[in-house]
Amino acid sequence: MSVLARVPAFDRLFLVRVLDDEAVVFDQTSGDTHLLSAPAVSLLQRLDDGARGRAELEAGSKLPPGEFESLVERLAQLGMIEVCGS
Amino acid sequence: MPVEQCRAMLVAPGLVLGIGPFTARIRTPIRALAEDVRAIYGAHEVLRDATAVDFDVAVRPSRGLRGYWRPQARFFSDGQEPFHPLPLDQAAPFLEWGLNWCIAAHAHDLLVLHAAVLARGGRALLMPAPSGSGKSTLAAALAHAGWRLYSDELALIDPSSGRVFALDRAANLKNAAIDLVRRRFPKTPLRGIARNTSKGTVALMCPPLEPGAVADASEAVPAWVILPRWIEGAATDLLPIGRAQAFLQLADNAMNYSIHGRRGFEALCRTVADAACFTLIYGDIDEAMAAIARRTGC
Repeated sequence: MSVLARVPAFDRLFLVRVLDDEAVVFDQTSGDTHLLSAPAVSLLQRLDDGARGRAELEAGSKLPPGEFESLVERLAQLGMIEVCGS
Repeated sequence: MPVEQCRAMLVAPGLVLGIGPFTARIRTPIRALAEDVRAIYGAHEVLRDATAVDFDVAVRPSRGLRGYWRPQARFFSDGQEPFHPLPLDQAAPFLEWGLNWCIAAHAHDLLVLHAAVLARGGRALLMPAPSGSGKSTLAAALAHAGWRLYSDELALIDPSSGRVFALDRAANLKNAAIDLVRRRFPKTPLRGIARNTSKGTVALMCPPLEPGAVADASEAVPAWVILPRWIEGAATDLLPIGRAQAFLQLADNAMNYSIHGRRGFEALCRTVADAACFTLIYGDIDEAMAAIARRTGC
């Protein structure tokens, strides 16, 4: 079963400021700033307490089919989450 | 200050002015520019005993053939010449653009944004936008409606306090905006009018302040962020936007955001956290002003 988790040392690598229902993120390694959509903020908040199953997270996201995959891919590209298992 | 005294100081040893949090020594032997400087900076404090200054600038006429044939003005900062010369009749806007460059290139203890800033009652309205968005026209109009024009080009945010510094600079008007200001505010002096510049016809609108009114560096707390966009014939639309979106626009228009790193990120978070943020599309200045008045309560 596939599991998603925030990367280790997430809080040291990223500064996240939630503004309304979106967020801005400062990558302390690259110096880049990113805008996170409300679903992305929600996903990161759900991963705050530890890893969770992908299927459970997708069901909870209420995103249309395919969009959850894109969101996961994007957050993984930014180095914020990692996908474990198959 | 009498014009002859101002002219003499500009020739030597230089006129030292307090411009917001900065001091600038300005030198020029160009008589017409001396009159423009006196008009534009008439409200600013003259620092007669200053020794060290932040910016030491000069605008001088070219020598040799260029002193007679299509005469040119040259801009110097600390003795260096960062730009190609411009036609002599562009000396006043050249000085203003040069001072803007000095601030943007050197003031890295502050977050410097390409934005118009106006203030009222200690609260600042920031309008970050690229050139051609109509922010100078809007800023010029608001400056005649009870707002204090800090600058139509540069916002200076102190990352430590989050406050915005007043510069009290002239508004840089271009083309149709010049006619609009002339028509609506016929008593407002326009200086340094130059045609056929790279931006078309340009003019500097002196901030409507009493002589000597700017005696110290004023500050204001960011209270509103408006992203303006002028579209000919468009209906006015002032809509709230999310603070995260406003943050990105501020960051995109910040000239030294990457230099500040985490400090800049936190400063902009603070800027939008307590501000009401909007986009503004407008095609009519009166409608835009009315919409801003409704939203700001000013």
